[in-house]
Amino acid sequence: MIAELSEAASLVATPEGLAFIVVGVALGILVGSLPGIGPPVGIALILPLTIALEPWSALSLMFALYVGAMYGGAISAIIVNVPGTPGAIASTFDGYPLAKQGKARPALEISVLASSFGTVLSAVLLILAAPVLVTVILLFGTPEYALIAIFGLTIIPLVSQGSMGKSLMVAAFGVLLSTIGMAPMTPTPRYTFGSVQLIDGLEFVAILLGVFAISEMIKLSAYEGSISETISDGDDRKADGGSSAVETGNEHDTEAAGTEPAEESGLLGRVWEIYVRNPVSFVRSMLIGLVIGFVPAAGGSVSNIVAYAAEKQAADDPETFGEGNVRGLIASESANSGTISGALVPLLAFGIPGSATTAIILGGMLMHGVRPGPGLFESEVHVSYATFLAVVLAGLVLLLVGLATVTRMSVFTKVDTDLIIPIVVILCVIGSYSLNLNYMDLLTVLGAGLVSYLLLKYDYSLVAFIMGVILGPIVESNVHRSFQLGDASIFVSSYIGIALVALIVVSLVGPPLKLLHRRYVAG
Amino acid sequence: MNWEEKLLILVIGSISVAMLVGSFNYSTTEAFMPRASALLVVFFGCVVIAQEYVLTDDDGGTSLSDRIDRVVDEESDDHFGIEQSTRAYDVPYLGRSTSYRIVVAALLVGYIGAIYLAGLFWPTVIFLGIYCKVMSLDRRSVLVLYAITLFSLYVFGWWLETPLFQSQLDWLLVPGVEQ
Repeated sequence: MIAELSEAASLVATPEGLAFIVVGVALGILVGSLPGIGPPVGIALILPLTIALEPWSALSLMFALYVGAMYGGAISAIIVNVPGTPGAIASTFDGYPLAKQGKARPALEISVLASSFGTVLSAVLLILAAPVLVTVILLFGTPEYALIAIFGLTIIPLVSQGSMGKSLMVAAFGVLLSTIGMAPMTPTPRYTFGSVQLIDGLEFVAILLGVFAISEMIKLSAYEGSISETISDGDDRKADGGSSAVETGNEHDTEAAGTEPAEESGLLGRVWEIYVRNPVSFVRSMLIGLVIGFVPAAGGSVSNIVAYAAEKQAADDPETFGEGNVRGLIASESANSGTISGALVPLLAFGIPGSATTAIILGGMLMHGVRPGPGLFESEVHVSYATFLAVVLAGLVLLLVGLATVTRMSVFTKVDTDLIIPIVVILCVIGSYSLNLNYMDLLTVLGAGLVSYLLLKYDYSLVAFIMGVILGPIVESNVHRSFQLGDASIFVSSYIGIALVALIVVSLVGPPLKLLHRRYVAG
Repeated sequence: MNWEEKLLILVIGSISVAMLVGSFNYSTTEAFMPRASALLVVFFGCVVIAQEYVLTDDDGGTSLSDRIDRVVDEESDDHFGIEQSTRAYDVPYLGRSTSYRIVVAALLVGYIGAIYLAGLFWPTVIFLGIYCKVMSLDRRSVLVLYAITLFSLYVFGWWLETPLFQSQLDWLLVPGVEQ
């Protein structure tokens, strides 16, 4: 393990790698604090620019951006009550009340500490657990691999937005589009209409840019000013109250629930107080985030709410949650950051992303020649270690950068969307064309963007669609390989296979049966 | 279900049916996945339509996300969920107003179409100009946007060696510019 760790460190902990981690964290905080942008769009935009970088510099940049953006989402959540990312929804519950009480600065410091703690500890845990993980991962053969990919598709409706029918429809549509190009088992081009531009299928990065960036920009174009202003206009609570408190460090006498540190003590004293007074909240929420990260398509948007609910349930003073209890903020931020490492496990082991952002990171890994699979926890375990090490370093850099910039970040929450839209659109167009100099990629960005905007508008899950695109080829190649090994019974020839088949059936049949049962009970 | 959602389902359904029909050109092995996924799209599309017109979903959904949304609604009355258009664009000469989303989508279609004809550079510059005009941006914002755009074009053209002036046709090339 020591040898592999040192090999991993030689990939990541280089001066160049560390520089890109600092840049990534800073960029991540920026994109996370801009409501409507978030980590998927941020990483998708940066992806084409990384072509010219060394693979591990590029990957470190992406992981660091992910880590920074998870914290960045809390900035607008606390200051203007608008979560910058879906993973920061629960941070508004207690973060904004703290800001209203003039405690925006301590709230932001708590967010930095919780995000850094969740990121670092979850990654360290996975580094230590890698020898155990590998024994589990190696139990998965080709049929189990196919089944876990199918399970990844069927579980989407349970964890993502929209109705089950809508999610499964767009997931199947994503799988269908993934069949364009060369068939995996035979050298036959499908649906290419004789065009060499389609031989390799639709470019994954172009689809990502269309789905996550273009659709979001079309959505944002309807709003005047910044998103935070748009949202807060109808709110009688003034957003400026929070931001001015951050900038001046002004403290009111209002007592908030929880155990926030006294402003009079120095920064190190406050940091120490926060960690010492709330150790259980930090650890419990990080573990919740870590475990939810393993579930395909769940991600930080689910973990922060679940951890918040768990923290509230465990508290002696649940009535103070929602009124500025620091433990609520710790729960949300520690959980969404703990999810980062958790979501990387199925990505590295099976190529199955645990969130929209890891789906884009998968595109980056493939672009830079890192192909996920069980081997990354066996013969090439140093690659997994390097990934988690990059996350640990990004978490530590976040602690420094986040605390150093805590009084200066509110300005980003008020950037006019009219200025963001053309920059994102132009970067998407130039970036996607730069990948292969293929005009088909531009048409893919356009088509994916327009269709995804409508999907977004009518509550069809974009995550389900992108998971279909990613998992389609995995399902197809592994199902074919399984049938070369035996007949259909091969899928239930192991306990894992039986368990996975049962999970697939339950995830498909459970929700409709539950609905029917409720209707029956309701008469 | 309004016309946009009907259009969306029609587009997805049409592509799926076309690919389903096209799958008969391939061997059983090659056709299995496209055929299965196309049939699933059609099946779940029918389920969505049936849910809309026949069934009434009175419990607000069964997914974890739905349950979380309910928690969010209870905890916070203004979470990030912007769906309503807040401003309209008055189309010049036509005397009609339309959504800015349609305007941006149309600009995007024109922008990518223009790249086919004239390469990346000039369509990008013109797209930005029209966008600034449509959004009525002030001079300072326009200058900032042009600075960022030209810098991006420079980075992609120089660092990533993207041919900025090469169109998909062999006309409208700028004389003397290295492609």
